[in-house]
Amino acid sequence: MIVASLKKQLEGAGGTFMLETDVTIERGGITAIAGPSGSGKTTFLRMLAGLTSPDEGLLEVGGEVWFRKDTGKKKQVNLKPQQRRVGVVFQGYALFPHMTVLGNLLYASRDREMAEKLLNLVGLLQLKHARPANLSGGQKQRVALARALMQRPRILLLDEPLSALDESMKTLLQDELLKVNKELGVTILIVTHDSSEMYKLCDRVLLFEMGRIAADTSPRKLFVERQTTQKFAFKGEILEIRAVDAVYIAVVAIGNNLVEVVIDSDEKEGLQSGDSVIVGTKAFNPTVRKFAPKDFDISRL
Amino acid sequence: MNSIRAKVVGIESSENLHRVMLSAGNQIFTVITLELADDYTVGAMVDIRFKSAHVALAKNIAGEVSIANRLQATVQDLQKGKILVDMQLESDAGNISALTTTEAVERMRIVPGDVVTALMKASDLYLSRVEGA
Repeated sequence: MIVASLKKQLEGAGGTFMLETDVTIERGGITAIAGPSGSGKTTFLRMLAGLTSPDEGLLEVGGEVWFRKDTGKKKQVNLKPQQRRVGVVFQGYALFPHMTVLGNLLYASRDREMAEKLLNLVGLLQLKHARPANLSGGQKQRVALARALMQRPRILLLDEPLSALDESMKTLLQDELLKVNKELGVTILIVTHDSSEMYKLCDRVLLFEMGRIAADTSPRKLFVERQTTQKFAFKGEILEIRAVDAVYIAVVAIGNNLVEVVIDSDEKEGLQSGDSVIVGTKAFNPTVRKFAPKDFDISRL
Repeated sequence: MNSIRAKVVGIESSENLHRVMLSAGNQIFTVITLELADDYTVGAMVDIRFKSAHVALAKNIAGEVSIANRLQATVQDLQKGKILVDMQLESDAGNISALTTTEAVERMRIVPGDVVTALMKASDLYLSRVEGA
């Protein structure tokens, strides 16, 4: 169990603000750290890893104090990153280019058996003698993941580890993260903006806003149980509204997709190009059929 | 988007599928929906919402119809296009708009002042919390 009751003053684009967390995270789960950029997500991870010192507070992991600084009489504690048993994977791979895949893992810990086990777990055993330059982005990220696990961390901190990867590689790595979480029992905290990633991987979402945890909920509650009983609702941006016959057609960008929606004069009222909107329909309306090669695959873009 | 303020008067559930009965004016509405948050309970005020394209119209309706929601309404105004007509209707439960084909409006000879029945399938309606409530 992680108890993180931490405070740190941060410099933001709009002046200084207080990063303040008071949260308990159960062992073995996967928690999403979400929120706009500059809300304190990365600093929170860095404080857990020991890369940034909080101004004050308490960080306890599995009953062991990693950080303590308060006005009380108890001794101040601030364990170094290498004393913390935390694995970290950031968006950049940061592998040693002159070492093989196996060499990169053994640099973290000289446990060859563990290295082979982890490479097998992430499906890279055949590439153990390859050098990073010869690997794809997804493969490099898997090496970084395996390396972060070499010291048998209690906590694995991932800062947008999959955001640079294409959809199919993302799906593959998500499956591997689930496997790692299940087989090694490591507690994972992952910074992500991807709602499907949160839904698939995480049992909990901490939504950061200006240094505070504005929502602490499940992905299901956050994304599925909404304000209305509409089941399909996606955030998008209006690109264009044009009058056609007795109706209007709104062109809306939802993620990488463009859709056209017929709206009536009531709905059109107060809407214009550039507006953020929610496009929704009831669960009874959408049709579902198997993806066929002739279908336009937006994920290829 | 049509919106009718209504009071929940009954909920019938089968696992996560629900049939919600609501009253507005003298009218009882039925909405079929998946998942219902805890605060949608009998007595709660909610908005029934539906697209104007999901409203069918009948004149002098007779016989049995499976559609659960039948609303007596008076035609106020018609915005005619070549293919579609956007129609404003006044009813005891509130004002709504209906989108129908120009062909149907001409065939049924619908003009302002006519009394029609607006038909809405229970699965085409959804519920929304009353804003600010």
